[in-house]
Amino acid sequence: MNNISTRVLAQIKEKDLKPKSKLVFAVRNYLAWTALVLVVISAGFASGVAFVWLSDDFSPQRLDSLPHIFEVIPSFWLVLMVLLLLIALIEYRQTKLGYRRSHLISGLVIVGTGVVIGSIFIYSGIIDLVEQNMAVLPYVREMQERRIQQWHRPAVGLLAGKIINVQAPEVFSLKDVSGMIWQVTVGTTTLVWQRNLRPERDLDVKIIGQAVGEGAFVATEIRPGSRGCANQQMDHVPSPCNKILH
Amino acid sequence: MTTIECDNLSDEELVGRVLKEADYFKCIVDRYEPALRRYISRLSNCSPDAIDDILQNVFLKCYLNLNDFNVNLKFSSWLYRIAHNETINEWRKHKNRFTSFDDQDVSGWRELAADIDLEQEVEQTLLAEKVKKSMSGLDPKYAEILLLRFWEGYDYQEISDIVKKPVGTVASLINRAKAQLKKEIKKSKI
Repeated sequence: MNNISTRVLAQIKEKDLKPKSKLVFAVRNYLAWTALVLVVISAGFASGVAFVWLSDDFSPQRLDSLPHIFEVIPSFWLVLMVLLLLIALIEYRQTKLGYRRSHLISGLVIVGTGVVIGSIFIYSGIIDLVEQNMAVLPYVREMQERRIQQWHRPAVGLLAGKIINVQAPEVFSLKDVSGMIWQVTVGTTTLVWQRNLRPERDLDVKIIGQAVGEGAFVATEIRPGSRGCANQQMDHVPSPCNKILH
Repeated sequence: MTTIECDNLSDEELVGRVLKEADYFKCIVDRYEPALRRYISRLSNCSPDAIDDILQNVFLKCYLNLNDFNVNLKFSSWLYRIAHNETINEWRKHKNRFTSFDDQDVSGWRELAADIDLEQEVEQTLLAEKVKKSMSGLDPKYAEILLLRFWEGYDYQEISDIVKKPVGTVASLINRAKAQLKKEIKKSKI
């Protein structure tokens, strides 16, 4: 009998070795795919938040100097998204036949899936909901406050605050984050009330426009104050958002 | 142990038998031991005793993980992958010189020499010797890929399954390996 086969079979019999059960491999495979799915979902969520922050907070006025470019980049979420996508790519390559696809194809599939999941999170309102609930966390609240504070720059045409009184569809009073009262006039041609916003009392808004005098502002674009906190009757609904502007 | 007839059984059938009766594993060992010994020897430059140890580990891992054998792969590719991993682990542990081609099997040399179109540059009689010497100067990842392609005779998909790289990467590795080998041959001016 061949030397190697003798040694191998002797070891198998001596130690009573048995092939590992199919269940072991099935569970390992299942866990690997579950981890991969969770990582891709998390990456999708991070990409959704990053996109929402970028689209909500971006305005040409904020790019008037280099430091402001960095202010509008949601670096935490972008870094988290890239990190999770890389982990997902590595995990995918570790699956049974993951190595058969090229890095490029695997990367595109994972990024594409992340984007689709991120879009689902955005359009289903889950990001708003999660962000709203996460505002109880000091770090998240601090980030939300910082986002709103970045919009408190009337001199360059940015204003953030809460509508305190609607005099007419095109005129309302707004209390900004420093407590100053502004009379905001809605422009006639270029105004956009984003995401079906309607002027109503206690609504948090971010406004792009121009300060035209002491306490007077002409709005060209009006956006939700912060996702998850917009459209809430802030003084009446108990919510972590209430604390942001108060 | 009773005598086991297994010559007419395919690898996949043998796997099924082994899962029911361990003695059939002897057939798998006997069937693959010579080829794997040659492969590990060329890949690792280990001593015969060390190769025996690697082989033993390869077959034991194969046996313990038989239920993980993926029917989408050829059994031999799966087994070579285990051997590939075990040999690399051994190489990392002992830092042996990677790849050794001091064997007399000239068919691989000839096939490789013909593939890289060296006939015009070298006399036929010197061809195998020239390629053999130049192989030692190759980057190990290139040497291994040429070894699998020209000595073990695996196709691109099988090599992809053994080294766990996409087929496209395998193809470009083979091309780069051949280009580097050509350069080595020209440099050596044997």
